[in-house]
Amino acid sequence: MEHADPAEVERPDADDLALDGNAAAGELESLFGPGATVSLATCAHCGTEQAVARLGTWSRGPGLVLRCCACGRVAIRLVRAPTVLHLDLNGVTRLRIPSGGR
Amino acid sequence: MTDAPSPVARRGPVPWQVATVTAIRPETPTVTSFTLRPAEWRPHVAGQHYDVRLTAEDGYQAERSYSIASAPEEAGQIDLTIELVPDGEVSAYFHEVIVPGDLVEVRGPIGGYFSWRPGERPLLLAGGGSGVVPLMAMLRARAAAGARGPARLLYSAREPDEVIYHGELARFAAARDGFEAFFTLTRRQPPGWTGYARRIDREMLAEVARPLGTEPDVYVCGPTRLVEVVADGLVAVGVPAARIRTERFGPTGT
Ligand SMILES: Cc1cc2nc3c(=O)[nH]c(=O)nc-3n(C[C@H](O)[C@H](O)[C@H](O)COP(=O)(O)OP(=O)(O)OC[C@H]3O[C@@H](n4cnc5c(N)ncnc54)[C@H](O)[C@@H]3O)c2cc1C
Ligand SMILES: [Zn+2]
Repeated sequence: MEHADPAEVERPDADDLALDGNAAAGELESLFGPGATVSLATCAHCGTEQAVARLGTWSRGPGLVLRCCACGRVAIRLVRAPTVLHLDLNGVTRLRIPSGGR
Repeated sequence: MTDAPSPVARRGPVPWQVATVTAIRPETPTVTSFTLRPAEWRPHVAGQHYDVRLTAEDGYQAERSYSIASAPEEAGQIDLTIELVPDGEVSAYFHEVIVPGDLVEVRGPIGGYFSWRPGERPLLLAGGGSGVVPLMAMLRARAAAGARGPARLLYSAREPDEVIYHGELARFAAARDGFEAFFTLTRRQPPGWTGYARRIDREMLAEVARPLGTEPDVYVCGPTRLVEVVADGLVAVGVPAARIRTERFGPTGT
């Protein structure tokens, strides 16, 4: 192990585990199609519009939690149970999904 | 960002399917490449990944993402390059259990954000550890397409032994087709080492990025912490944030 340099020490360890929306691509594409991670999500809390690939993503545990990259609040929550998929989009006011072919 | 979502190619839903492991190739003491033949191969774009799912006899499942290392031109198969993570569930299964002929469950190609199609625009790739894998797919695609635009790779590893694709990167650089490779070895350097010998910092980023002008396409991949330091650093040295695409692999393999 290397010792961390001071610039890094200030970040809480939990941040090391954070992924981004690319890690949720498989699950999100199964719902929204191949454009899922290049879709633009508008945060319901701070109004920032960002590519879904840029949302902070926590994928361990029972489901996926995706957070706004600007304010850190929850944007999308997804839990797959044996017979039902729970999708909570409370933290997103708008999702612009490219529809692909013309 | 206010631009419209970028268009994506039309393709059907990507189903789980079975792939056969056809070849296994060590890259470094802790990194191995696996060639997989999916029952139904789909063309990919460099930078995309596959999801891999392992199911235990009791039904417990573990799912992980692995970047495609091979260029799309290698039709019918994909290469995954997997670093052995201490106590890692899925990476250890690949390294210690899988043999040629085995079947694994996969779905892909997946992802449209961290992807690159060959072109002539200036290209900057920066990565650490196994984060070089999707960047290598881009360089392989670039070579296969005969692209000659300026392209630079900045690759951080701890030790000389840990540099993945060392020989192939040296060959790409020797081709003098506009591609240059820059290495930083953060913990141990071989005698006579002339590359960088410290963690990626702003000065290094400025040196590597500047000759590519003000608007390179940038792809940054690796351990979460490294990705953030590099992306922030590039913005600090003047690269427009909108040109930088990132992919975080998590805590592993600094
Ligand atoms: C889009 C994408 C592409 C990727 N491509 C590649 C690739 O090309 N090559 C490659 O080698 N890897 C790649 N990865 C990383 C890969 O998906 C796995 O994360 C990695 O192989 C480790 O998985 P594992 O099952 O072996 O280890 P795990 O069993 O997941 O454990 C990993 C280690 O980190 C710790 N850890 C990880 N997450 C947590 C957590 N939430 N809480 C506590 N501890 C944790 C564990 O303690 C353990 O020591 C990619 C990741 C993403 C998101
Ligand atoms: Zn927000």
